[in-house]
Amino acid sequence: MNAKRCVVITGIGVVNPAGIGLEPFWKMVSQGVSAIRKITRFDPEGFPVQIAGEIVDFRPQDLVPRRFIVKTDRFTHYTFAATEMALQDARLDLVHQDPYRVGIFFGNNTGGWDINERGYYELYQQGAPMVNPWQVTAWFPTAPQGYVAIRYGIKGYSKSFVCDRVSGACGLYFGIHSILQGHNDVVLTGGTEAPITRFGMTCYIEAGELAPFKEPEGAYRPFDRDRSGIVLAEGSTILILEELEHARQRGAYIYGELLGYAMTTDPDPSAHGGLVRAMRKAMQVAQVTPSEVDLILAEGCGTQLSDRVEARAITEVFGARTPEVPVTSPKATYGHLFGASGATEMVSGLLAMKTGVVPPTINFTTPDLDCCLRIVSRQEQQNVSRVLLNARSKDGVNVCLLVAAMQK
Amino acid sequence: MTFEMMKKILLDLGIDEERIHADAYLYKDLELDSTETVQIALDLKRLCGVTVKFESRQDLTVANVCALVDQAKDAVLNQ
Repeated sequence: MNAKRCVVITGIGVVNPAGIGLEPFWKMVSQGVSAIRKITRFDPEGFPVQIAGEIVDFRPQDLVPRRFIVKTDRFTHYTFAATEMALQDARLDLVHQDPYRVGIFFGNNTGGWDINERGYYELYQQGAPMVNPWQVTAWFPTAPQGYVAIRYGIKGYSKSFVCDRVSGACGLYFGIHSILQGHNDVVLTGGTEAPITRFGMTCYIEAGELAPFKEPEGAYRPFDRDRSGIVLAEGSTILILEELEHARQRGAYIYGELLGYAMTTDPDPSAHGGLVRAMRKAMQVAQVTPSEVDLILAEGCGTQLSDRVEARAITEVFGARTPEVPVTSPKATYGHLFGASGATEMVSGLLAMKTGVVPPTINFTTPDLDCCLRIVSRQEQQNVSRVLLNARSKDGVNVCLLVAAMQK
Repeated sequence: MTFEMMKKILLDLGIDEERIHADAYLYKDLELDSTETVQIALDLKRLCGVTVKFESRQDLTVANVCALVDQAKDAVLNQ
């Protein structure tokens, strides 16, 4: 009988408003230096929301061949760059891997807005025959998976996920299972998002969950009593998952082991029973009790309802220990990345375990009596060995993951 | 002149300059895909108003494409 397969994380690539690359990202996030900015990519005058986690210093040509840049959208550029950084970080050359044992599990919520808008301009200004051909291949949410597969010759079992705020966490959940079930030995997972265009912002504003701020100061405040919604962000985070023995055989550095995983759905956004079940199941699979969890990386998206529901769920699961267990939502620093969310917060968990630094939930100044959690509002030094990560969609899809430091 | 225009279109697609020469085949040598040949056709339409169709079964050289463009331009002038 085959030995039990285990999944570890061996590489990280980050393209984020807080920083491009792991070191600059962590420097900003661990210190809680806000990367929320007034939008500069287009003139936001007249928009009820004029702020975002916008990336201003990304040069795709540094990491992506020009040929791929031309035929893909910004959200795929971010993915290419994050993927290349993750592979370099893992010291993993895919040329030496069986391409049928490498998979891709990416999340994305809304596709490529730059190329989408370009198509509309061409259609209405020049006519249908002049619409660029990349509309066929570049705008839809599976494009990053396809282009990364082409670039690196990846042929293993792969999927893309469109599931609102848990798109990226779904990628992790199913990527883990693809290794556990023996489909893959290596998985590129995480996700990407690039919605900061006139049309993209318009659609997200219409969805009604964005914080209505025109200036960035104090705009994103998860779990604070005066929170008023999500601050949208762009970027990509890619993680390299590997089967443990595969990683050991090549002497890879291991950031952490994914011990627990669960996915549930609540019947409506105000229900929390499904999130309770997901947290409990993730811990049960990991054989970890609530008293052994050192840190909770919350969904903490910053809407009144979602934060309240999550706080109830955490309180029910952690009981008397709730006032002690640290909870943080580092996305307050860089914004909500939807498709790249989950994986991005996982990076904070991995680096908290590595460095003993817990990143803060910035702008948390006024506690909410409906969210009686121990929110980490300033950077804390603490030994962290086991982290529970929550991700939850607007309509109640929950993904919970338990990651632990490797035993020495 | 037509070659220089084709060269610019190919450069804009990200093809390395040293690979672009008159005898280079679009599929075999430059490894273009079908969306890239559609983009070339759109650029030719925009830049000189001619319609050139690329068949996936027939690999053309850059010189072949330039000849088709020149023929199409002549046909327009002789109308």
